[in-house]
Amino acid sequence: MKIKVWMIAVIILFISSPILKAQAVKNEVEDSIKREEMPKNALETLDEFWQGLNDIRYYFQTDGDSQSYEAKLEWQGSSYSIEFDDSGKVLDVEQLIEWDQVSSSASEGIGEYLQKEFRRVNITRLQRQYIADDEDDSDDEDFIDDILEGDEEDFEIRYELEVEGRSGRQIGAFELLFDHSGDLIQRRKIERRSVDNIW
Amino acid sequence: MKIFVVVVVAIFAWPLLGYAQSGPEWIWNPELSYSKDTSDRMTLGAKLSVFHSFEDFTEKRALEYIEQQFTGAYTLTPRWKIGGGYYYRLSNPLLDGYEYEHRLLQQAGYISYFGDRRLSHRFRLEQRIRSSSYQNRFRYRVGFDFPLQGEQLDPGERYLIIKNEIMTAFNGSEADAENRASLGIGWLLGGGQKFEVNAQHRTQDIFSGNGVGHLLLLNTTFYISR
Repeated sequence: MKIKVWMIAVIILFISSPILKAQAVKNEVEDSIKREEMPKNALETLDEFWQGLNDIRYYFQTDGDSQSYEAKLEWQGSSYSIEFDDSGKVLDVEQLIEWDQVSSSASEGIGEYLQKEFRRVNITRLQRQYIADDEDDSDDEDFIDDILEGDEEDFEIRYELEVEGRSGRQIGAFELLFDHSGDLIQRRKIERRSVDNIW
Repeated sequence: MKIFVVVVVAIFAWPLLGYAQSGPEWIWNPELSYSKDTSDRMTLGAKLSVFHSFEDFTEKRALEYIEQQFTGAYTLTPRWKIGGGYYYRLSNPLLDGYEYEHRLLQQAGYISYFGDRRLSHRFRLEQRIRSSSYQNRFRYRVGFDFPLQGEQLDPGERYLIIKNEIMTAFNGSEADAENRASLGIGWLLGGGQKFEVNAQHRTQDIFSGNGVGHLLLLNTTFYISR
């Protein structure tokens, strides 16, 4: 009996210690954080548009060189993700959407690309990205105001897709970025964690 | 988060302490797993698994078995995998009159991804050729793992893993059923390595008519994947 209690105590101590964490080299990191840890300017921007909105989730991201902050929220039936730099300036806004919300000019190009490059493709995640035009670049409130009011002349739209399928000899998940007219900007294969612990 | 992890483990460990006083068997199950993607679709794996009883921990009879596992998996679609394997088990290897088991298995798995959260279903057929008997078995396992720090699992971070498996042996003399429920915590260590601690409760001999048996197992596995 003593040895069982001892083993459980050791495991609990082990779990709560930073030993394992310290062993790994963390280059790319995304961590959930508290509201108080967000840059002050970012909170002011969020409060301007979503004062009193509950359930906003906050995240910190770093790749070792640069760092950014993110706020994720649900508003008027849509999921938004707003990314800020470390001074609290808005970098971009992303909105989770359905395929029928993609503009016709983009959906045609995207559809053609998927048909040409993939066999049995399945879209698992689709986001609309809003990038500030030059005149709004220094004014975050104008930029978000334009998005919420749908002033499409005042920002650039891109579409980010996560798809599963087979492309040539590759099989798995891919991230694809398209511009507003459906031309591919970037493509990368999503490296998934090994499934050896659940398969 | 640290407090949350400790509380989750403590909640799961508490009933196990209760069981310990009433007699079910306690097992430590250390494992070392190595897997390698040999192509975009094919993965080969090897695992060493040990069953060591907590009772009479230092006695030779406490080492209940050593098992070597060899598996192969083929990715059919981004979500479906099929595969097979061979296990060889030596029971009571430190005692005279040890027993062996050759095991063949065929399996299929379906994995759904929700960001970095994963839900898996595994269906497995086994043929157990033992020195004293032969058994066919069917197993179904559902598993779910998800990051504990944020929505994305980064190296150095922890994840929670929940699994339940039901199985039935379906040839006449050996027919019976078993359930294995487990809760664990893992650490993604980077470099394709991870470490997991799982507490598992096995409910055995469900249809035997001789009373249901309980086995409590503490599994520690170090995974290396290349």
